[in-house]
Amino acid sequence: MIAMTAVVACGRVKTVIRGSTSVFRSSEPAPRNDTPAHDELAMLWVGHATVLLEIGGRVVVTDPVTTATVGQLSKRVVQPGLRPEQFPLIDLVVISHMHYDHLSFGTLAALEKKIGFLAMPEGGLAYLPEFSFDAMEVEPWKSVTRGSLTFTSTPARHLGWRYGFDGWSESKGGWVFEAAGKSVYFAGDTGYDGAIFREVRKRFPHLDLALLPIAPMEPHGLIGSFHMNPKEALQAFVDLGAARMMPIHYDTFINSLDEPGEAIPKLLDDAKAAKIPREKLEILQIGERRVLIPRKD
Amino acid sequence: MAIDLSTAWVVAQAVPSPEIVHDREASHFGLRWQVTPFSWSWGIHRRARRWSLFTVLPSRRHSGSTEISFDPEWIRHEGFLARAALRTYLPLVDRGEALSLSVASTAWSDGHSYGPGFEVALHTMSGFLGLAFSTATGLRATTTAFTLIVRVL
Repeated sequence: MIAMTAVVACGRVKTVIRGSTSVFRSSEPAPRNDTPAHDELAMLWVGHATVLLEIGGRVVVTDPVTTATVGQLSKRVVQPGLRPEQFPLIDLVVISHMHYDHLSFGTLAALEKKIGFLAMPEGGLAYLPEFSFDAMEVEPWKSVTRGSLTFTSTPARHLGWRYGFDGWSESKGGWVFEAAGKSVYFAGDTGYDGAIFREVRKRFPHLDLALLPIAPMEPHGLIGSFHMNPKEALQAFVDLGAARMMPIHYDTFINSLDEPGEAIPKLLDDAKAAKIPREKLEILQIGERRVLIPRKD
Repeated sequence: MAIDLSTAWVVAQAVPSPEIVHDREASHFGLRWQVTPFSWSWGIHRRARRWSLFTVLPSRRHSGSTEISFDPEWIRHEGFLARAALRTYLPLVDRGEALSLSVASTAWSDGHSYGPGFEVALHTMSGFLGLAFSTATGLRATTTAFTLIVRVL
């Protein structure tokens, strides 16, 4: 018991040291800098958990983070794929949970005039400063419709606090977006929980795309209960029955013992072992936009 | 109005902020604690609850708020001092999370005498760290203190 506690403590200390010393490194430019457009279903990976999703003529952005650091300590390894001035008008911003690498006040301030509405999981508004855009909390499994876009809050197996000592907060979750007959699932940050993913499939049986985190992977003994590794993310993809999967939440910040570039080869190996066809995996570079369903002109 | 507590929060309130207190005669080492029974945030989102009792989330505090606090101090060679403050926080960078400024009117007592005081401070890293300059008039002479604020919540 003492040895296990020591191992966990060492893993935590090493992770904190790696993350906080990253502030002294320069970040690489984003490999791509594609331009958003207005297709029926398309996604542009800005980095980490920030995806600009075009769905049925609507624009949704997940967990927008474009700042150079998070928490003033952990620096981006790669610059964001879109600068704030390059974002289009955004119908909906969703926040999955309160951690600094998902709820960024600096990014929301930079995008403030472009954001139409913001949705958070239940309990999240307690953390949100005043902005000009309106915001709401959504309870798990509740759906909200604004115009042609419907969004539903889903549970997640993760941590709800922001500051570490606010352990009473349970504000965390994922989201499902529906517009014009398309549907996309954004898991946020979550450990593997088959019951959640199967329930999402039961309620949304025709998901076109699942945005699933595949990292951090190590130290798995410390973080495995609230972060999926590639193998678990692939199992979640199978549980969800989605048509395609886009891996997210890797190679952007140093927040673990993972080496940059380690997650995708692991994902491809695990997909091969699980007999999941490569074409079902939408692996994007940061800044890359990919169209799944083009606009009908 | 809800009070949200966790064991970690209760324990964290015991973490003091170290300070150096100067009077006419000497400088002394001290420790300061802070308890906030009441806070009203005008910087939090209009859809959120503005009132907090005892547990004040940093985003509520540093995005713009006014609070009443009790700040007990221990000063080496001087003993304990009780200080009450009416403090206002103003956000400067990233809705106060990266940098905020606070100003406070204070009243102190060492059990024998009492007097007014003033405090100004800068806070960073969601208020986990800060630097305060405070005065206390009437404590034999005007004392000034520089406090390294360490505040976990």
